[in-house]
Amino acid sequence: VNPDWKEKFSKVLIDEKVTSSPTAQRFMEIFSDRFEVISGPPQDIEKGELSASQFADSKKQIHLTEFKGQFFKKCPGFHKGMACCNYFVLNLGFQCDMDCSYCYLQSFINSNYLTVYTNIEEALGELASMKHLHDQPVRVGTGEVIDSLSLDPLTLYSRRLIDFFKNYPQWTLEFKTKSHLVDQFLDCDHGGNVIVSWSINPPNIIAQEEHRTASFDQRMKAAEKCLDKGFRLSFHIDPMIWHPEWKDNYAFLVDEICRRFSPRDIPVLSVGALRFQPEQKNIMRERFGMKSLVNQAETFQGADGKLRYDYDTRKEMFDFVLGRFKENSPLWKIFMCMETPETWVDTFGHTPFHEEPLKDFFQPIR
Amino acid sequence: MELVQLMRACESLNQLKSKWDPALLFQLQGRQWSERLSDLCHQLQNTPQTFQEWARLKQMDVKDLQPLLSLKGRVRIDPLLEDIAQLKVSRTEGKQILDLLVDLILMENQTESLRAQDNPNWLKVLKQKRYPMSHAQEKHTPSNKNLPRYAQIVNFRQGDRLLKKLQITYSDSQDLKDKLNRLSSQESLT
Repeated sequence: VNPDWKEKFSKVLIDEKVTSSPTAQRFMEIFSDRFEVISGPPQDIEKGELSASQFADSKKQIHLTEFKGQFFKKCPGFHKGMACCNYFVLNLGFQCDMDCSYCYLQSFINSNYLTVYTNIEEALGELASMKHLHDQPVRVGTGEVIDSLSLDPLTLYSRRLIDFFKNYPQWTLEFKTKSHLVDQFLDCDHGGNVIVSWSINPPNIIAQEEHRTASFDQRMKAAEKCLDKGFRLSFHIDPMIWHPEWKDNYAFLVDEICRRFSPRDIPVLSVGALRFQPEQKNIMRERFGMKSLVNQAETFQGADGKLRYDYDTRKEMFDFVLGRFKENSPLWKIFMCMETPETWVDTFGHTPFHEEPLKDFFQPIR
Repeated sequence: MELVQLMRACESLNQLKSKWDPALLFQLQGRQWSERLSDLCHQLQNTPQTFQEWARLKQMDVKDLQPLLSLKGRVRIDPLLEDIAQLKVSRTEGKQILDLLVDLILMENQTESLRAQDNPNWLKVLKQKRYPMSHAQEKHTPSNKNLPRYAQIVNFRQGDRLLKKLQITYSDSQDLKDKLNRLSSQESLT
């Protein structure tokens, strides 16, 4: 276990209903000097919009409890007007211990606690009951509202998920992370349907905008370890952030991926550009000021209501990255995350439904 | 009750050392009290009276005024808030101006360089300062040299897209038809 956990979390509250769960037992052992068992929600829980300092607190205070809603959901990319890649999300917690300036959680986290759900067996039961999807090429990600792996040495959920997905060969499990914490599952026997993916940016963007995340080199080395153990890999170059030297820095990123990996190792890569809800702007500015490249961005409201770079700027950035990969090898498969069919047509000449290597991802699920 | 009125009511209760909880006052008005709202009320209390009055008249609400939260401890914006009040801008324009001003102050622009100076195009001027790259693109005049005098291409922004618009001057539908025919056969347009 990473020895920094105790420095990272000042408070660990465990709902009395879940104390017998393996996750709670493990937390009690690791945080033996500070955990508290409570009945009901934490007394100082905030509901509603958080202040900047409360949001910062929510990254240092953990609450273990059970989740009573539906675990399995369609990815938010299903929004009308966006090209969708059949991605489903499984949320085993809420809030992230890392602190990216552009993080969309800032616009809707409404609790001053990082919540970890302990009833993973119920989540898996819910997946098992989706019989109509068992023979469909469903992709399931666990990194929508919490990083898939940054707390995994504490929860060990990766091990349980990898084991579960062995029974569903048509499905793909995707861990999405900005951490380098992979050692806890490398010995697991997997069904070849697990993708470990990294959201990645050039080192200067990681240093300036992705606070408390693993460095570029740490992420690359973690990916190499996973590859050695037969896991499939993916990289999400997302969100691309414009800055005067963006071409040099994204060229470095692409070249490093190409140097360390081959298209055979990475079934698919994705690119996306900075985007956020207008209401997120205030808290981002309060927390990171105007030195942040994200806050400095010249953005405009797109068709989906989100603020984005000008269309031509986005297209130039996508063309550059796609071109650089294709120069290395035409076999790289790349798609654009949360982009309109219009951007697809202008970049690839057609929608993703007609892009041969990506067809399967974008076929509507029956 | 408007946010500014609620904030003033809280202030008065505080001065009277009343035991009234501000949270209760806000709840009675159907609003949820929070630390963030408390911070905003505090920030709003420190703004010039003229601005508060403008914000009350324009029914500026929590989301509209939240940009002020980024300026904790800074008073440099006061003359600019007075300009907003003095120019009597609409609520929609006022929201945009406030947001741009906060960005520009945090980007180390001098207060004096941001003053309205009675310019009715203040919003436009601030946008140009805040979005210099996009402004340069928009300002770049499309070439009209191969076009007849009755046609002109101009840039215009639609959301996240900078598009071009072809404007045609015509007298009646037959004239329009003729000009469109002539234009469509012109190589420079294809």
